Amino acid sequence: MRALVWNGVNDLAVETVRDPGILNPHDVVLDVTLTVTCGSDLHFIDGYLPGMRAGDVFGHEFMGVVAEVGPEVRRLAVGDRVVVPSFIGCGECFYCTRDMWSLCDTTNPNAALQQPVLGYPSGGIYGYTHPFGGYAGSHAEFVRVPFGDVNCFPVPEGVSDVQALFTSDAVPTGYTGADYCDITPGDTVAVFGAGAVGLMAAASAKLLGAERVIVVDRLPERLELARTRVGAETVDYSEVDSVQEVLREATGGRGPDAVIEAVGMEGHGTGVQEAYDRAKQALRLETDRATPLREAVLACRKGGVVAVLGVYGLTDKFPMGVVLNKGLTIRASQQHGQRYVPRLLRHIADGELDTSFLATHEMPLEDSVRGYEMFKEKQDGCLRAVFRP
Amino acid sequence: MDVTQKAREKAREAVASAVGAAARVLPGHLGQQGGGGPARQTLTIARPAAEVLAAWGDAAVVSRLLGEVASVRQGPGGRWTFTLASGGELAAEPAEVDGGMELRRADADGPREPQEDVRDSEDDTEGGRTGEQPGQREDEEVLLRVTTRPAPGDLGTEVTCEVARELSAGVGGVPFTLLYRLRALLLTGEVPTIEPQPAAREEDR
Repeated sequence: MRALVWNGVNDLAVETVRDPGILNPHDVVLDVTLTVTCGSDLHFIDGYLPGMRAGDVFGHEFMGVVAEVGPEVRRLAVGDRVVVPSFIGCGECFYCTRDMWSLCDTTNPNAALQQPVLGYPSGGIYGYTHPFGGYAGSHAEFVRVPFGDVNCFPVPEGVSDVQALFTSDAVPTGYTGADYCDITPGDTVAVFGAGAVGLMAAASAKLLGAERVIVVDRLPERLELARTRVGAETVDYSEVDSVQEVLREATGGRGPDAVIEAVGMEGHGTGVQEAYDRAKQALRLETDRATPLREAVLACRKGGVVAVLGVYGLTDKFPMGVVLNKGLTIRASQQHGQRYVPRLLRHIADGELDTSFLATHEMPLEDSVRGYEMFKEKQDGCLRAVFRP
Repeated sequence: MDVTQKAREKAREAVASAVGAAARVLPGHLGQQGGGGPARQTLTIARPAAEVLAAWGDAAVVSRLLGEVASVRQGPGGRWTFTLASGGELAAEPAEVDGGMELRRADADGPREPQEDVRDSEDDTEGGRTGEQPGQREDEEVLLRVTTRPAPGDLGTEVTCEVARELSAGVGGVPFTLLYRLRALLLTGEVPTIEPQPAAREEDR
C-alpha cells in the first residue's frame, strides 16, 4: 500500500510499504477514508521529540471503513463506517474501566521505553514516536486498529466523513479541555491557541455553558474562524502589550474562570522571553517553548482551572509559585476519546457542533508531503490538511 | 596543584555528582539495571494470585512474555530450557517459594545448590566476598523469581518479578516488560505487538 513515512527530521515521503494485517484476535483493519495532519506531528517532524525510526508510517487522526475483523471482534462488521480515537484503549484495565483511555495499561508495546521518563507509561497511539507504542499510523491506505470493539465508533447517518474525521482527535481533545474547566453558567473561559484543537475547545466550552469564550492567537484567519464559526471573542497577542492585562480588563479585573492551553511545545510569543526560549530550544537545553503555558497560568483568576492540552516535553521555568499562591487547579491529559466520541457525534448530528470548517485543505495522500509543508508553514490559511488515501 | 588541575578536579567532581544524582533519581534503572544483581519490578495485576502464578508456571506463556529476549521450552522432569536471543542456553528447574515461584539454575545433575552463604563479610578472611549481602550467593542461582501479595481493595495482586542478569542484560526494563505483557495477557487475552509492521525499512518490507 502507499503511505506517508517519516525518514528523518523534516524528511517525509510517500512510499510503498506492506499492508497491515490482523495480528491479535481483537484487531480490525480499516480502509482509511480520511486522515489528517495534527500539530503534535510537527514536534517529531521538526526533531524536537525523539523516538521515531526512519521509515515509520505516521498519522493518528482518521476515519474509514472496516475492511477486516479479527476472530474475537463482536460489535463490528466489514463495511462499517467508523471513526477511531488516536489513543488505543483495551477496555479492560484499571484506567480504561475508569474512562481514562489514553492512560491504558496494556496497549503500549514499547512501554519500557516510556517508563524511565514517565514512571508509569501511557497507552499506545497510532503513528507516533516509539515510546508511545510504535504503531503504524493512519497516513496510509490501511491501518490496523487493536481492540476494534472499543476503539471504533460507527458514524451515524447524517454525519459526513469530514465531520466525523475530527472526532478522532481534535474535537475530543478540545472537549477534554472544556470538560476539565468545570464550567458553570456565567463563566468566562480563555483559550490560548486557535488551531483546530483550540477552536474545538472554544466550541466545547460554549456547548458546556460558558457565557464568554475568549480565544488568543496571532493569526488573523484563525481568529476570524474563532469569531465567525465559534462565536468567541478574540485577542491578537501580537497586537497587545500584555495578554494578561487585556484578559483582566475584559473580565472586570477578575481574570477568566478557566484557561485552556491548546498550543504545546512549539509555542510562539513576543519579546525577550520568546528569544530566550527559542535559543535554549535550538541548543537542546530545553525541549519546550512554553510561553502560552506560562501565560495561561498567569492569566487565570485566583482559584480557577488551567486545562493543558498542548503537547509538552520537559518544561523550564514553570511558574509553580503562581499556581500555589493563586490556588489554581491544573488539569491535563492526552485525550480520552472513547469517553467523548459518541456524545460528540450526537452533537454534530444534532447540528450543535460544527467541525467541517477545520478541513481547510483536502488532497490525495500522494500530495501529503506538500500538505504537511502547507500545514507547518500555515500557508494559504491552512488550519488542517486532510488526505484521501 | 595548578589552576588547570584544580579545574579538572572540579569538573570530575561535577560529573560524578551529576551521575550520582541521576542514579538516585532513577532507581531501578541506572542503579539496578547497570549493576550485577537481578533486575526487579513490581506491578499490580487485577487477577487472583493463583491465576498469576499459573501463568508463570507455564513455559509457553513465559516464552511469549520474554519475546525478543529468549524462548523457553519445558522438557522431561519439568526442566526448563531458555534459549537466549543473544546466544546460548540456560537450564532451570521450577521451585515454589513463599507466595510465588522461582526458576533455579540447573546443570546435568539437577538444580545447583548454593554455596555456603557468607553472612558476615567481616568473618571472611580469604577475600573475594567482601561487601556481599546476606543471601546474595543463593540469589545468584535464581534465573527468575516471582512473588505475589494481595493488592489493597479490589485491585488484585501485586506481583514482583526478579530476573537474573543473563535474561535482562542489553534490554532495559525486562522485569517491567514481562509484567506489563503478563498483565495485558491476563486482562485482555493479548500481548500488545507491532510486528510485522508496515514501514519503509528493509527489514519491514
